[in-house]
Amino acid sequence: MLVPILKEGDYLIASIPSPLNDTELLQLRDALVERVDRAEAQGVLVDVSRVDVMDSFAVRTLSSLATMTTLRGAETVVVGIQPEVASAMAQLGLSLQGIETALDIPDGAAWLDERARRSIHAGD
Amino acid sequence: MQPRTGRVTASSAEQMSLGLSSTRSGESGESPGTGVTPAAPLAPGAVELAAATTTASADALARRRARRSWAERAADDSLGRTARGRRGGDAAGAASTGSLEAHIARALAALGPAALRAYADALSDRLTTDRAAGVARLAVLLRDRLVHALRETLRALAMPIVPLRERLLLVPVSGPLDRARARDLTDALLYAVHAHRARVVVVDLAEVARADAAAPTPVHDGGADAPAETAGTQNVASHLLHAARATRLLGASLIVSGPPPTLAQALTQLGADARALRIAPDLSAGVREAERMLDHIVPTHAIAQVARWSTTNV
Repeated sequence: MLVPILKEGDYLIASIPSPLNDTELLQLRDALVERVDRAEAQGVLVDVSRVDVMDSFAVRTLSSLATMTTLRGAETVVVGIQPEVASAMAQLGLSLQGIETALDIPDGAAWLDERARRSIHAGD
Repeated sequence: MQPRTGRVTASSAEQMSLGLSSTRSGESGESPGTGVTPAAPLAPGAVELAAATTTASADALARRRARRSWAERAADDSLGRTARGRRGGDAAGAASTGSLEAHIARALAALGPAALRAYADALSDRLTTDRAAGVARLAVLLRDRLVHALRETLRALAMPIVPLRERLLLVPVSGPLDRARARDLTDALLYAVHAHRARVVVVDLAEVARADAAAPTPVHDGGADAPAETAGTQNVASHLLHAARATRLLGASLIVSGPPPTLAQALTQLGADARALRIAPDLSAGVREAERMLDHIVPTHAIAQVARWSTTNV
């Protein structure tokens, strides 16, 4: 399944419509990393609100996505993790190491805005 | 004799093997008044239970009562009269069972009054033992239901989730916090964060600390109780940490205010880092910290919104 990647302002938004298998996850990761380069995006929002299962592979893939996009100058925010998924992940000891999380896409975008604002101030 | 049989609520299907085919119509035809309302002589609690039992068992009960009264009557009265009564019932109600009941009446007539009396006695003994078992089962069922209801009430009362301000939830926990309640707290918290779109959650444990101080665990021989207590606190601490990590995955932060000293200790031992879980000395400090975080997080365009919201609500 091809996950559509939208560009909204400086950010890329990928809304995962249903749980992905491992290959599809890797495809999504590669597509996002490529788009970050091509579109010069400042941030990536991955919406997982319709994903009801997050295994260790998904978590690892998202972590590597975050690292890759950071190396290309864009921060990744995972948004919309469902309560039961969060509970299961915490129970399994899976944490999104080095990834920012937010409640939904507007929240994630707000966090990216804030971060951009602060980095500008830090640059002054 | 009639009322006593009416009291037996827990009827087992196995009893039915003794009984013959049913006779609601026969009962109404024979004696319209006796035992038509099964729940009438029961204790108040039993009425509720009887209502809750399946229609199948209610049917079985009715059938058995009808069967018994009929057998007794058959033994005491002359068979001819009973058969007439039954025939009258058939005429009034279900004609389909008529031939079967006539057959039964003929079979009983062949047995004779002495055999019928012996059969009625055997049935009576059986019902007496059934009654004791039924009352015991009823007591267990009522107790379970009561305990369940109390637990639900406690759960609802003891863990309110208060939307204190936009994107800020307050959860004042009162009473002793054990493992089960900590788990409930985690679940309720995660769903509330999602539903209220909360950014920060303050879990106030000051009342828990007070409960702990007011009712210290009785220490009879010091050494034995202390480790168990520590294990319980550690469990609660790990549940809280779990709640904090899951909350963070949702994109919100958790502040624990006023934790009992032992819990604070256990939390730090488990490696609760400031990113996952913040600890505030009391509720006001926790709320202050939450507001600071909210002001910090909320972007400029939303601050105006929050300001408008808070001025209209003050």
